[in-house]
Amino acid sequence: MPPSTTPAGRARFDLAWVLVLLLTVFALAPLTYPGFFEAESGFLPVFNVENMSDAPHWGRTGDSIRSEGRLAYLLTWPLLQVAGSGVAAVKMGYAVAFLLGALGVYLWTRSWLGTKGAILASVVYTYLPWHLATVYLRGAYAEAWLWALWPFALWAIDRLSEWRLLLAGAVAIPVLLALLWVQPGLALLSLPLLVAYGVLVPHKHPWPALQLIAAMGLPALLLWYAGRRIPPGHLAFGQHFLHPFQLFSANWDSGTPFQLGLAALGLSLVAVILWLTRKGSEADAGGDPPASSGDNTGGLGRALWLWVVVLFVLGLLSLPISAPFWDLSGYQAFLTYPWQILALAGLPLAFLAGSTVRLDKRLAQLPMWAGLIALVVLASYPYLAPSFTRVDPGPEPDALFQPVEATTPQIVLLDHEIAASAAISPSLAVTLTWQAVEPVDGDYTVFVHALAPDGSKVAQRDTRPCDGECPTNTWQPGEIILDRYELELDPSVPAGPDRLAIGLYLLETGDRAIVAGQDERTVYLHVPGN
Amino acid sequence: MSPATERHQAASKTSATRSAAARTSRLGFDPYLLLVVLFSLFAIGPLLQPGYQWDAHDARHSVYFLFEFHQGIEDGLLYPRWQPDFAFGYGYPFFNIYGPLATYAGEAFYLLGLDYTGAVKTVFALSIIGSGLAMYGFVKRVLGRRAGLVAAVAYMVIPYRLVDLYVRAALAESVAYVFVPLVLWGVWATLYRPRLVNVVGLALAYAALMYTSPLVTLLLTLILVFYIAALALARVNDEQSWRTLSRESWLPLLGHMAHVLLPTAVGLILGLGLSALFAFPAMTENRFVRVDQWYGGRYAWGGDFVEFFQLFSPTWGFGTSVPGPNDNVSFQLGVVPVVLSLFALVALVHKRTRARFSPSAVRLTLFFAVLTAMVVFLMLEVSAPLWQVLPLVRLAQFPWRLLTLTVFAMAFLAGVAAKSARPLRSLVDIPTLILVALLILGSLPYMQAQMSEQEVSLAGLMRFQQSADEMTGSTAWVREIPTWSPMADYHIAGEPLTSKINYDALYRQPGRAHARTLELRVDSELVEYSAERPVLLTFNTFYYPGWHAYLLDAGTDAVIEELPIALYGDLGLMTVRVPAGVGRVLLQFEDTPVRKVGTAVSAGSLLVLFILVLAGWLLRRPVRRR
Repeated sequence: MPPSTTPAGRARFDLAWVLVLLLTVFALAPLTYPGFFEAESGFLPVFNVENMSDAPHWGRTGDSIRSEGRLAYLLTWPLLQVAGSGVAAVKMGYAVAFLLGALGVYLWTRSWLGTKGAILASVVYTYLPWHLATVYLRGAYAEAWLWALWPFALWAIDRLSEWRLLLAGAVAIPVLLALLWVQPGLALLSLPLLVAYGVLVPHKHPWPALQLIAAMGLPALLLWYAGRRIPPGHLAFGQHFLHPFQLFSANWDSGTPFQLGLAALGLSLVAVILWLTRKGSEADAGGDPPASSGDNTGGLGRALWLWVVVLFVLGLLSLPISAPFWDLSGYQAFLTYPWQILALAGLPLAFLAGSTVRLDKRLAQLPMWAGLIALVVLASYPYLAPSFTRVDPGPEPDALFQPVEATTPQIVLLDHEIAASAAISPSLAVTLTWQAVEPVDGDYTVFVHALAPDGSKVAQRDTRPCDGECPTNTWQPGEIILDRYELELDPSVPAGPDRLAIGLYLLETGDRAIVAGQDERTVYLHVPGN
Repeated sequence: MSPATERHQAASKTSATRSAAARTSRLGFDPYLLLVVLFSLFAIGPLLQPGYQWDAHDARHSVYFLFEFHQGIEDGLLYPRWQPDFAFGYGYPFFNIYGPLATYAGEAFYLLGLDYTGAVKTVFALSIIGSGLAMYGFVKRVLGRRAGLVAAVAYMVIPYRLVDLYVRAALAESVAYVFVPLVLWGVWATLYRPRLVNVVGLALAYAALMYTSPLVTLLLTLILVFYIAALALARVNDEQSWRTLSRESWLPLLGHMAHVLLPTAVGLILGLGLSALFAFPAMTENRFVRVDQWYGGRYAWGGDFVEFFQLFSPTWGFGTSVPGPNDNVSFQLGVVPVVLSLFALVALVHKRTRARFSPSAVRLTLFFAVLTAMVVFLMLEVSAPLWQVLPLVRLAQFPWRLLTLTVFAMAFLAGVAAKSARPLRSLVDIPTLILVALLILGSLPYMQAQMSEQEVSLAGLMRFQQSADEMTGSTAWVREIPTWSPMADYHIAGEPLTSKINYDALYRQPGRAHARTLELRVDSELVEYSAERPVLLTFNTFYYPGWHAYLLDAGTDAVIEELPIALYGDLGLMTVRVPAGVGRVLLQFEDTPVRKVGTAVSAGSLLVLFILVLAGWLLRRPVRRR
């Protein structure tokens, strides 16, 4: 059983909370860039926040299980009122999620690992590469909130084991509901983990395997039952398993990184070794002991073992070897990609890494402790330079294009700029700002037609984007493409163009990409000054 | 805490510490000094490559400053204030207003046989080593050796140091880092251990800083005001608590305060006196040069503040600072120094670890923590109103240049974080080495220089000035900054320049005037002329106070009279009216009254310093005999 968190008679403010907050500064700093970042989801979180009635499925086909829930956006609504812009509100939302996650892990692990261990765990959790990638590379807004909520669920389970039912219930029930409302699929898959933690860790059982099966049986069955009734996703789940090296690769810039994190994994390994080689009693353990007066050696040991097993299982579930399990269980219905399960690895990694300080008192002394924390931040420091953009498309983009074969919009026309050329011959300089939010299936040609008030075409340009230099099928999700066109106008035509007709088509077939929310497959833009 | 108490604490070292100290004495020197030098190799490693970082911002400046400085030394001038080849050969009083110490150091290595770039690289390298050693010395005094080592390494490898070294190639600023800790150490020592050696040390360090970089001196002096006040007040409080003060005790208190401050004041005044040779003219005669090109245009203070994220961003670049958030140069504070700085405060908050710090160490830690926070604040846009009321600070041109101040403060704080609970059992303990390794690891990706090869020559200087024309220096009488010159043509053609007479202006006049230069030196030009009637003799040299023209007797070279100097054209070229006949004119750059006073003050200060040292030595001799 974890120790109680508040020793009697002590109401002093714990400055460690402040330290936990201060130590998030490197993770939060990129959010203060005066613009946004080119995450894979592009500006979709911003559009969802700005168009709350359509959230979380603005511009996308609704998938109530595998994709985002609505709560993250509802929680951001007050921030939108404060910030005044969707971009600022989303960035504030990410910041709040980071801070909640850090505080939550500290709150949860403090009773297990002591103040120093909990601070280390909190830093590991915040700077875990997968966590940073969730925000700065994938732009998975709802998932960022899951990271914020999970630690509170575990804290509530700890309180439950202390029979502080009122407190536990007051936290656990809203947190569990929030998890399900933030991202149902991933939240449902985390339920067996939460149950296992609640059943196994606080109490010593004579037959842990049986207890585990008994405890997890019900949620597992429920998930199995539910999974059978959820329609399959539009992507082939089985094609997205990871190769084992990807869990350990430092790759960051090309494609989605899947690494577990050098520092987190290394410290976790150290923790396991320390635990295995530990001799003597709890007195050997280091750092500031948790606030409990009782012996929690067994509890800590069980927790360590549980998290080691969980980490191992999560790793396995992201690899092809687990394909039969996903097929048989039907759990793949809850996720779009198998690697999404790695989001849950943050909890075991934070706990295991933080426990190093608890297990060896030499590591708890200030220079070493400071060094460990510096190491964790340093290990993730290179990942804190996202690709920034100053583009701000406002509440809505000009259009969303859905390629012919695709089931969901893939290309966003974020913005446009039309300027009359200063050259002697009249012309229009058009800049289109594109962003892909999914890998684009086809090599599309862009048409830009200048239309006179009577609807006649007065100029046109049909070419692959950037004069063929940046074909659509090479666009990386999140990447901003500035695509410029020069339309030569006929000086003899008295009426200048008042509209531009823009669209995408496949050169081979002539098929045009669908414009989401419109019957026509063309976007019309007003030409200023006409 | 009183000095006696600190001495008592120092005396109560653990046996382990004593054994380590004994090991040091057996070795005959502090082995940590060697460690500082060894760890400095990481920072100076890129300099060991062949070539030179020519594309760094001020890289060419540093080399050609030395190049021109050497012309003066070669001409026998000990302090060449006038550089004849700057401004495309029209000349410029560069070292009259720019700290010469770093260039003196480069000159020494050039005279020892290195080439220009090699000499400059050596000074860069020594600035890193010297700064590390200086930092180590200070922090060791306050916090002990391990903290000293960590602070020294942090001071050498904090990213902004590497920006100064490899991106900006700011030689003077890099050398100034050597003296900043020495000045702060000197102030601390004169306040807490007021001995003659500390006063002399402070004077020398402050003077050296002034000779190196007046800008850094100015910024540091602003901070010294608070630094001295905080430390002095704390010391007075230690000896006579504020709580015990009554109305009657204010006067004695002020006397006490003056007594406490006296050694520091003497040290700083002596330092200022020593630097008067340079500082007086630099402060008073800089108004005679045009600075609009340095403080105007893109160099104008225009609120190009650092974005908050940039302080914590790993992004690196060899470009320049541009308005907006997308600078191509890094302004990061450094990930490991920031974390360790936070933990310095943790050490103070934690009761158990706080007990390991002397009161003066606690005060210094708090001071540097507040300083770091203040400087960070000043670099952010939110501080814009404060900049309006701090005109002196605007001399920094860009708020990010205040990063110089965070380097020292954060290095000190990193040292504080390294002060551990356990007494030293071995020469170096693992936690200290781990922190050192982390500091180096954190900056390792930035330890890179873009090296290339270029010839250093007068032609190269002309091309360099042409490519950086916006920065071409000129004196206050120049209305149109030149973009080329007849002298530059000579240099580009590889022809030796033997005269700066403006023949165009001469031959346009009636009177069949002829002139030739008999001797052209860095600070003078001797001309022989003949003319049937009085003519104007114009020199392709900018006017600046200190230039004098004399009419000499053609046979004996005796001065007949001083000729008044007039200015010619938009370039403000020096022109003298010479009488008809055959004669000689000597145009010579001499000391102005301010320079003479500065020289006298420096000489006087040096004499006082010598007397103090001699007196101190004489006074200590009998004690030794006893």
